[in-house]
Amino acid sequence: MQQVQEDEDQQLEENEAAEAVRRKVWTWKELFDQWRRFNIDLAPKLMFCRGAMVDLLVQSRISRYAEFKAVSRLLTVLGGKLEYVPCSRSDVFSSRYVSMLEKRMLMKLIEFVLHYQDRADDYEGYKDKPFSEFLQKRKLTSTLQHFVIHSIAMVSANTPTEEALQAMQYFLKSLGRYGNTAFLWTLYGSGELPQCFCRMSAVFGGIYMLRTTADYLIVDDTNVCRGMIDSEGRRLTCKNVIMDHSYTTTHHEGIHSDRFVSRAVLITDKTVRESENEEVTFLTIPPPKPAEEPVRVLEIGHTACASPKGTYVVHLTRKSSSPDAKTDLMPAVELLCQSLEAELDYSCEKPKVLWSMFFSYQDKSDMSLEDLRAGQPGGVHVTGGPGCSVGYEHAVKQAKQIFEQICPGEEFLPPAPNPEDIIYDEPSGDNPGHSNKAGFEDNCSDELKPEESRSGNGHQFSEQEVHKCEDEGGDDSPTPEAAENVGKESSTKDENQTETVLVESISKECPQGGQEE
Amino acid sequence: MSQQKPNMAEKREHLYKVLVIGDLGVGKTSVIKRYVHQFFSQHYRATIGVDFALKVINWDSDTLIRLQLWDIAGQERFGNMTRVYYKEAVGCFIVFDVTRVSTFEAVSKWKNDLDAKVQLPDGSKIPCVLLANKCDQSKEGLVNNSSQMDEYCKDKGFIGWYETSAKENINIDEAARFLVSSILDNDKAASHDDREQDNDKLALDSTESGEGRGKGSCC
Repeated sequence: MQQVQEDEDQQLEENEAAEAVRRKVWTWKELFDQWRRFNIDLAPKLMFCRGAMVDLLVQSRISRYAEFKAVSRLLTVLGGKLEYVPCSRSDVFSSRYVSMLEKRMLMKLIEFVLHYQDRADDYEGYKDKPFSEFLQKRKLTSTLQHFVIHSIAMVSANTPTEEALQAMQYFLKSLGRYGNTAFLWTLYGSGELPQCFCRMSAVFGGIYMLRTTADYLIVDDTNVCRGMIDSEGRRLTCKNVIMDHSYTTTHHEGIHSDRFVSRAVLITDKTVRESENEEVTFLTIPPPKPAEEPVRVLEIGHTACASPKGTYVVHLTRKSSSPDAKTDLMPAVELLCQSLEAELDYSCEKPKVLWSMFFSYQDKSDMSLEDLRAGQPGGVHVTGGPGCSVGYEHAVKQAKQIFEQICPGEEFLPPAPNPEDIIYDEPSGDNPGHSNKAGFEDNCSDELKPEESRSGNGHQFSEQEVHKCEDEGGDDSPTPEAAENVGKESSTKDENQTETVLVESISKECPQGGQEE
Repeated sequence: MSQQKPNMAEKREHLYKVLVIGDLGVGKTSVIKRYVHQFFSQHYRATIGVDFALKVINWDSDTLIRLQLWDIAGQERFGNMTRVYYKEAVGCFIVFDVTRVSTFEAVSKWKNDLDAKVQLPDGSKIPCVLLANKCDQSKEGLVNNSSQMDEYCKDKGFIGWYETSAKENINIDEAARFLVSSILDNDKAASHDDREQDNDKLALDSTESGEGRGKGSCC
């Protein structure tokens, strides 16, 4: 007996030793040498598989510029431990944390929510009452309520029932389209999406300027914006400027001035919960009290192209009423990881934080466009920033609204032609460009063809616009809101007759001068 | 060569993304058009609406290559490209204009931007060929001295350089053949490694193209 005990002890020691060998201790230099492999988003977001952003990317064919990965697991904190959230039918039936009875209850609820609009009687009296009361009435156990409120509907216990049902339905409808969870992650990060929109914009003549910021607006004496001056001192002529509220000097007296998003970014040496697979993890840490805010956690590793092998990037996001991210998020960091201050503890399974960053930003995502642009010169459009929503629903809605203001009646991001479908006509003459429809033909640099450079009757997206600000005013704003550009650029397309067949068919939707008076 | 159609059973297909970069007006689009569409237009025309051009090459009896030549789409004005343009490229042409020294001076800037933003899966630089375009016109600068050009290419990490003329159809096919053979070599070397294949990656359009096309594409 004694012998057995000793053997066991020895075994344990050996295991610990082996563990110590297995667990890599990262040095700052090793991390730094791999800097290129880190892709860290300031405002990471997920796409609902059947959400507005996916629809937009597919419809416009911008999706071809990016690759995605399904979020592979949803976790929540239950009794101080990280547990899987059962969200699909198969999850529900295989879940260990849900009893037979609960499984039936949850399945019935899911069936109901998918068709709740047709079954108004079932929630009539609860429409505006807290969601938790409705779930109580359906006799959901507290475990189930926890899953449903925090991880599936992603609302709070006090959210009005109808609103919560809508949110839950949105989630459920996104299941099973691309994977087992409702979400997609953009490989290399959310920062890929603006690049994809920029590429599409560029293909149709839009210009983006990396490493350049807008420093000043040029405003005429009727308080209408006529252009801007960039960080290189160049004047850019434009009729519209779209910018984030953080660029404005107005402070929107009193409106949402106490709304912030608290953020933390951690680089860790292992996942928050061991798994056989490389996971893309979305975790909700419910608030300690119902009135407080949950912390949403996204953990991505090298298969999501966020970090080098053996490391993970962990994003924490929480709504807040003060710009104090560390206070807001430290409890969550300590729940998930080993102490920030202490050395690596080999006996502890939790990840070790190798690097961390805390920051806050103002959340004006709920403000209307009218409130946001109050006090701005004409032609200036102000966006509310990323906020702390999980998905891009609000961003897409706001982009469409602004597009509608600038290009009333135009189609928002129509499908681009497939490059493989573009047919180049062999020109009949030697110089296909020498038709009297100049269009883009003269779009060359000053040094090449100065005398011809402004003879075109169409818009010219050339350097002239950048250096001189004369009559014409190419309305190119170097903002990431590429959406605006796409419609605009195509408005000049009918000149470009010899170029393509398909491009033309699109261009006709945007008549020449959609932008002009 | 495209006439030969031997037994298709064993034919292997490769799809390669190749970038064509360089300063404004050096003839990138002309080179692509000459190579892909066999025509040349004297007149300068900015590149609008072209994402990439596709060249199908019957490389040998059992290899078919689909070469996607990605146009820079006018973004050369500011000398910086986003990573999305560069990513997953396996080869590159950097083009300069032999009549304008400034376009040659920009070559190393382009090469640096390229190498900073894209690598082959094994982390090495993607093969890049330097094209000294418009060689039918009078040359200025280093390009007059071919041993110095060789040295320059070695120094900057180009696998080779060619004097080309899209107008006179000089050396364009040769340069492309040289780049493609280098790409093929890299590809063969890579497939010998048991490189991790990630099958979980999703491309939205391929799975959902039906939905995507049905909407709004008729006009």
